[in-house]
Amino acid sequence: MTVLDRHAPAPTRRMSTRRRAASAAWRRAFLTPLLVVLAATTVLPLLYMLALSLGPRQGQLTVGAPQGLHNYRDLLTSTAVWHALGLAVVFLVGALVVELVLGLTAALLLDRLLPGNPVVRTLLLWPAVLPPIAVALVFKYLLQGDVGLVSYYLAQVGVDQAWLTEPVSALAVIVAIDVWQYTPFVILLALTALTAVPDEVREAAALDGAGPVAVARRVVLPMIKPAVIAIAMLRFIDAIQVFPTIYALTRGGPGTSTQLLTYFNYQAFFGQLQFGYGAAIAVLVVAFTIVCVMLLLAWQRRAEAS
Amino acid sequence: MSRRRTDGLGPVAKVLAGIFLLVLLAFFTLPTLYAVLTAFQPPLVASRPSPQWLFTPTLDSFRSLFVDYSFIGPLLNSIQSSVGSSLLAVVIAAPAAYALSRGRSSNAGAMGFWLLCARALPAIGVSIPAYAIFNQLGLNDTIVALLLVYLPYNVALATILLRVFLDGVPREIDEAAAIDGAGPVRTLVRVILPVARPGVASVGIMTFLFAWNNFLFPLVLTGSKAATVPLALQQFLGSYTLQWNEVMAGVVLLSLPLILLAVTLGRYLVGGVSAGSVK
Amino acid sequence: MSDVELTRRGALRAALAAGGALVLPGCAAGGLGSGPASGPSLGAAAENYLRRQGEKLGVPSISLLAYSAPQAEAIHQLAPRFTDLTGIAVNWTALDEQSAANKAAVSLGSGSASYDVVHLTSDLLPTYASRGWLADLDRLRRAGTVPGWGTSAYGRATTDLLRWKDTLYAAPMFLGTQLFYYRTDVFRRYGIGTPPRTFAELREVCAKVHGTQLSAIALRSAPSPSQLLFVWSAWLYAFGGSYYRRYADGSYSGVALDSPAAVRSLQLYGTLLRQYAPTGATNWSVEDVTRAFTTGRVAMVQDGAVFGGTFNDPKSSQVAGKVGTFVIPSGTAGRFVPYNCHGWGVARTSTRAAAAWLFVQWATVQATLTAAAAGPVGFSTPPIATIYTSRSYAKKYGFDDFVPSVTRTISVAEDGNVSPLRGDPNYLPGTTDWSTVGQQVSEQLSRAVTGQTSAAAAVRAAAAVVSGR
Repeated sequence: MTVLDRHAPAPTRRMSTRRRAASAAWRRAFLTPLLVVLAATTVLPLLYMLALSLGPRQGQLTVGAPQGLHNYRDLLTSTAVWHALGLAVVFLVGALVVELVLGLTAALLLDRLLPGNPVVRTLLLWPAVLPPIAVALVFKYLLQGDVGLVSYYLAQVGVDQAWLTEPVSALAVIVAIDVWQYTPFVILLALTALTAVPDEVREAAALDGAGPVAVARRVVLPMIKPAVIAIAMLRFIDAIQVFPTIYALTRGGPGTSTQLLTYFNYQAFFGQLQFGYGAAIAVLVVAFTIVCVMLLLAWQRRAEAS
Repeated sequence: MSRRRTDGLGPVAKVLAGIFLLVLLAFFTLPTLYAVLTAFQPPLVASRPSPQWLFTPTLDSFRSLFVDYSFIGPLLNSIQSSVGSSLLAVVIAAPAAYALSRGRSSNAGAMGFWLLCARALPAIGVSIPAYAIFNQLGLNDTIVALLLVYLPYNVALATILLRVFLDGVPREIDEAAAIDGAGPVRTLVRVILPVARPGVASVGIMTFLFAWNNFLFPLVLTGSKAATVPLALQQFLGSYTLQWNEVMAGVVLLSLPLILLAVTLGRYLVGGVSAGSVK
Repeated sequence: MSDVELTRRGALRAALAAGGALVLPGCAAGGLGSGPASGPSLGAAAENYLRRQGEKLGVPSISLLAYSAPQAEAIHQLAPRFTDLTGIAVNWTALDEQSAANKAAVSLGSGSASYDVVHLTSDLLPTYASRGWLADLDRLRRAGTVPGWGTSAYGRATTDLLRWKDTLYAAPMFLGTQLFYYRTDVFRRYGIGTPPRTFAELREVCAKVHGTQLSAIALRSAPSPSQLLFVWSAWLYAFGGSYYRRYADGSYSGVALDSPAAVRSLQLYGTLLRQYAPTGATNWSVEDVTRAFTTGRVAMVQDGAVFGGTFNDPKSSQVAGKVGTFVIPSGTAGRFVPYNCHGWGVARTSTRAAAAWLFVQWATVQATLTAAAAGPVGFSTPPIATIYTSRSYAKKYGFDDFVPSVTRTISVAEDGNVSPLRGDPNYLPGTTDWSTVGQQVSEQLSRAVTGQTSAAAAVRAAAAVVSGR
């Protein structure tokens, strides 16, 4: 692990202006391909979206002369988009909280009981590498009413739930599938973060008389807090795109109770063929994402400072 | 790595912990286990009104799948688009990550923010304009279209992660190479990257997976020629006649390459992502 | 291609045509060709025309987007015959209905269509046509038509569905209508002699046959115009309800959805699905319903007449040989049947429109449709009436009382019992924003089906959507 150990940056040296200019030049050159690619592949589509959103509500996919902000006006005054946004927030918070709580608990326990076990690592890894649509198909099969694995055995113990046809349980299912697929991965990442916690710190706390739970809570967790937030960030940028699960299992139903932001956007484009309106939604989703990233980064910076 | 642990857990706590972990293990493995079992069930068994655990396994589902569906196309397309996307990402991100790593940290903060935003871009928002633009360029239903559209995501992630890895490569190595007369390019390619090989492997795998598992972009941008594996799986969804044993057989078949990947190269994947968190 | 090669090809073709003309008359009657390789024969005049046009156009290939449904797959299997005749290869993309419709929208809306021929449904035709996405087929017809191709073969009810503002935008390839399929063995077991003829009888039968191992009924219920609305609207009309009050000159006025009839029909639909259907069936799409029937989980389904062959085929259904059919029950306002028409349209921005038009004609001419309907893939609802009385059709679909049920269903439709509004050929309102409105209406109504709200509240909300446009 030597390469990955944290290494303090070398102290700044006084460089001659010529050397400084030269080193700046190659850095600029190395950064240019990245900047060009990013600009072309992110700015262009976003501008296109903006242009579409300023056009007619239904319209075509080709950009015409801008007509005004009516799509945004319709959007912000409609309940549907806030409903979709609210569902997305519920999903994100629900999934992330469950994944982190379960993941950290399991990681702390595994760290104690089975440190450094490679079999564990492989077992925990592969749900996360499966295509989400494959996972969705498997759960569609398992959640079939009456005969699916889950429904059948739960019915034996008296739990008779129509998973995908009641709004709350349908949303819970979407959350649960995300939890299923990615909690093992969270466990893995947390395990790795835990290896950075030095034994001495733990032992010192234990010597002070703290039980294992207290050690975990007061010593270990605060130390890995920045890492935990980073894990949350990683999960966030994937989870906000949740689509195959909804597409395969509920198609936004029952009613609109699983029409999360991304699916709502997809419906506006493809289901309702409202291209201008859909473009405005897309711009809104981008704004929402940027805001969330800012918040998470700020939180992480604060955690690192303390 | 073996470590002595002050095991402060009493026996009761250990048993409880063990039960908790076992329940978790069951939760995480049962679904796929049952899915795999179903793939080997004969059709009559698969449609019984309750889950069947005992049956004579058969390869019929796989056979009928091969007869009725063609997987070679999607498999090849997935391999091409994923490997290509991964290579592109590393080639573009490595120099940038190196520059960021060896540069002033003030720029890097802002850069990191924009990279994260690029990585979090909603796919719907990008796919529709991409479709329109690619159509004009005659790139409809091509692997190139996929490669282009995966770029922002993979390049952003690759840069973020590679930068962290390269931060971990001591500057002495740079200086030693400079003393030997190597310019920045040579230093990067011949000296730094080989040292950071696990990091590069991690990034390669993560970008490969992003491309392979992507569903929305192929759905919008490809048709019959460049369709990828997740789209093939989605065909099972909309089929009027497929029975569940065949659907599960398809899921198993198309997930196998990834499981193999996880088993063989898994440690790089973990190392990669954790580096991003343990910075 | 050089002139020499062209003439050589032409000579070869002429020779083939001459030889083929000797064999053709024997194959034409009865419809079935000698196998997928040679395909259906269209008669010498048509085939010569196709050959000549193919050479004249010199187009190497066209792109086509279709649903992966039997009616398109059957044509796909015969498509090599088209390529043989015209030299135009067909790049075929088949996706499930939802994805294909999405793709079509994006492709047609992008201004430079990547598909020349598009499989579409009559429900979406007003939307596509009003946005200028489809080529004017009347104009293409005036420029040249395959001998023997004509809209009179399809009947007015059908072609009217593919017209918008009196212009034809697609050629019919499939009739979408529905009837009830039931398990003959289950009905016999419970002593049900005749299938239900009214909705009240339907409810009684459901109560009788529903059990833990086998549910009574399954119906499409997912919140989408093609799922919930397509099946339920016939019930709405049979109970006396309607979406609108008036239809005149192609436009609708007066929202009439909020009515006791609508509430009653929705209540029945939801009750049957909540009490007599498998758990979870209140959010089912067509593939869930068909899968439930073919795996023996339900005793009755109302779904596409196109599934007749599939349901009775041992290779794709576990209940083959035990399948019966009956026409949709009647209500107080009469008997109505779901009805739409699928067609092949040509993208307006296609650069190979003439070649695409050639394909569309080939695919919808009687000989091709007869061969497609009765071929190995087969679909049981071609848009030409005479096919239903042909020998090959009877041979393939003559199980139980399927053929009489289908022909009876189609005659109900042709009597005008498709929409409660006089003069309206559309089953679901043919408005240009139906994709939007219909989607939102189905979302509201599905909440009553799943039991989240009362039928009255759902109907009210749905009516508000329709009037709020």
